[in-house]
Amino acid sequence: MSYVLIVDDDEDFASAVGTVIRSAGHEIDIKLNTKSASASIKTRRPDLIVLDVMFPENESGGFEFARELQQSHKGKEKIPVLMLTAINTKSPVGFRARDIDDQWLPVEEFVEKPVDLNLLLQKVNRLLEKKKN
Amino acid sequence: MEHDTGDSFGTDFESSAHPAAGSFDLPMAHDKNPEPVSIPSIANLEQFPVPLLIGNALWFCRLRWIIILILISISALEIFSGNSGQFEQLGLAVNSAAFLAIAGILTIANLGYLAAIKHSREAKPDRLLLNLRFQIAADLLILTFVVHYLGSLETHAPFLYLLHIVLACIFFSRSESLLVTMLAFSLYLACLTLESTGSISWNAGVFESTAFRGSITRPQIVLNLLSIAGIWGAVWYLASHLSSLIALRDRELADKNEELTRTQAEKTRHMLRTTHELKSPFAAIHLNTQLLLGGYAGKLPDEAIKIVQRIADRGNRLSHEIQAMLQLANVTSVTRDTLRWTKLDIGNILKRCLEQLEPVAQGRQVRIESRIASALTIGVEDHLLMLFSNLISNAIYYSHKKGTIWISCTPSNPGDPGSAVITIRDQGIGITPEKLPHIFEEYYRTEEATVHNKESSGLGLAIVKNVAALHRIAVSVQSTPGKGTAFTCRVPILPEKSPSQGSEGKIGKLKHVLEYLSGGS
Repeated sequence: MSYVLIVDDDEDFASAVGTVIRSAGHEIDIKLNTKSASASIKTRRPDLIVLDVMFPENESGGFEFARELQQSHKGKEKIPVLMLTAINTKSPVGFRARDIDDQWLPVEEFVEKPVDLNLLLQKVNRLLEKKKN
Repeated sequence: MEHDTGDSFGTDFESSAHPAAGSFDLPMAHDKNPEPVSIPSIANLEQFPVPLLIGNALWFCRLRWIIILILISISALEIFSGNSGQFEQLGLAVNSAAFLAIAGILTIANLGYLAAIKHSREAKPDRLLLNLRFQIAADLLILTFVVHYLGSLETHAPFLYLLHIVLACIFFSRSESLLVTMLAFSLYLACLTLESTGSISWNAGVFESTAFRGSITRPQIVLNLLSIAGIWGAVWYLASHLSSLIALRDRELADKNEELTRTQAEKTRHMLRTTHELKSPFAAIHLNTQLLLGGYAGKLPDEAIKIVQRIADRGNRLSHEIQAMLQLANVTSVTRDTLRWTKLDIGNILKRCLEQLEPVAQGRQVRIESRIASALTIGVEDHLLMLFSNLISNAIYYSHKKGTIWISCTPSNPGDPGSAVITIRDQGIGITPEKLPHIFEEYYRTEEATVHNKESSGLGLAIVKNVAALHRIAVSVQSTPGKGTAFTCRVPILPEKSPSQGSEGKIGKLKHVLEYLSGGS
């Protein structure tokens, strides 16, 4: 059983994502902001993080969270990140150049909202399996 | 459908056995010859002063090569005609050694300036300005020698100073160009004074006879000097006035441009926020209805499933419509310069569209066969994604069940080597010939289309039209009702660099030297 952390400010969306992932046999936790997500990771490291980009307090909060995550886990095993966002994937609008730099982009997968339920499950399972291997 | 993967793959209706009933080429909004936009021309706009200064400095160096060439030609003429005495017959006595020496000094100086410019490309503008100041001052000094050897009184050589006065007006502020004018006058005055006091040879420049110089009186010289001062002053006044007017306009334009860019950025930011605010609730509605329909909340009664399905469908439709409206607003309100143009692989873009749309096709039992080669272009990533995903999703939505869609990307074709050809061909409902010219209009939908697919916003092809115009992509469509439709996009591509470039031997080296001398990088 894997442990997936969902970080999204939209509670209705996050809980639906949680239901889907839980039904696939994984354990989940939902955090509505990146601050509480950071705290949660310190107590228990998830196998996968499903992350939103825009948060009410910070338009590119998701990117910053993923970047911090990448920097803080040097040496340790990397936690894969699946990014879910309502904006057009790697759209440059609104973000600084470093946020959309492919070299830098600290996430494994990008999926645009609204997301297809089966596609979501497929991506989650693929990332979890990749991590196991 | 193995037989379809053969030679007929991705071909137009033109070349297949059954020609299309109708075809329509979307008129190009811009130039007829599509040209990829160059990245540097866009990037340079942001850093206005340094490239301008570099340009001025390089231009100045190029002008100097011409002067050097003229000096060498004069000396060469004298040397080669020296034996036959033709110069003497004309009453000329050219000091070819002096001219050659001056040409040599100028050549060394010019190479020095070029090296300094190359060195200060990344530097602050004041270093480049210093380079220009030094060039002008050193030139004026050398010019004084040229004037002396050409004939400071006998010829109109003193007017050569005007070149530097005008250049100073272009490069510097008014006060600084006035200083240059005064320096030029002082140097000329010094030359005359030294000549008349005998400190340097009282010769007649290129002329043999000193009769003219001998007969000229002091009041005449003073009058000459006064008129020269008057003419130089007038030229300085007019040129610097004109130059400052142009500089003012330039600054106004730069300010306006900055303001426009800021407004545009603000607008796109607002658009992004709006998209997010509108799409987020739909994402939640969508996923939750999918949960209900997927049985995640237990089995629903049939009637309830129908109702939830209706809610889901309308939700999806509204979401698509909002997205299409925002996309269209986005592509119609932008100007080319404010977009983020990058080098892109069209093949990669198509593959990403397919990845996104494959589940939709599966859901509609439509097969997609693709043959995609990579082709590089300059474009706006989001826009090209929008263009192709609209065309592909149209092909999916207007296909019949169990239909096939062929998608191909050919980087270069014999008839048109400058563009990649992307064809998206379906076996769907097709479009009647008389309706073809209207399909790119906003909210235009044929009756057949409305019956077949309720979900469309009627904006997809309007988005395609606008993105194509921005990217200079030629779009044509061929269709036969009941048989299918093919959209063909010709995207301007970047010329492929052959690996042998950069090591072309002697000619290549000579080219580099010439480029260096003319100030190119």
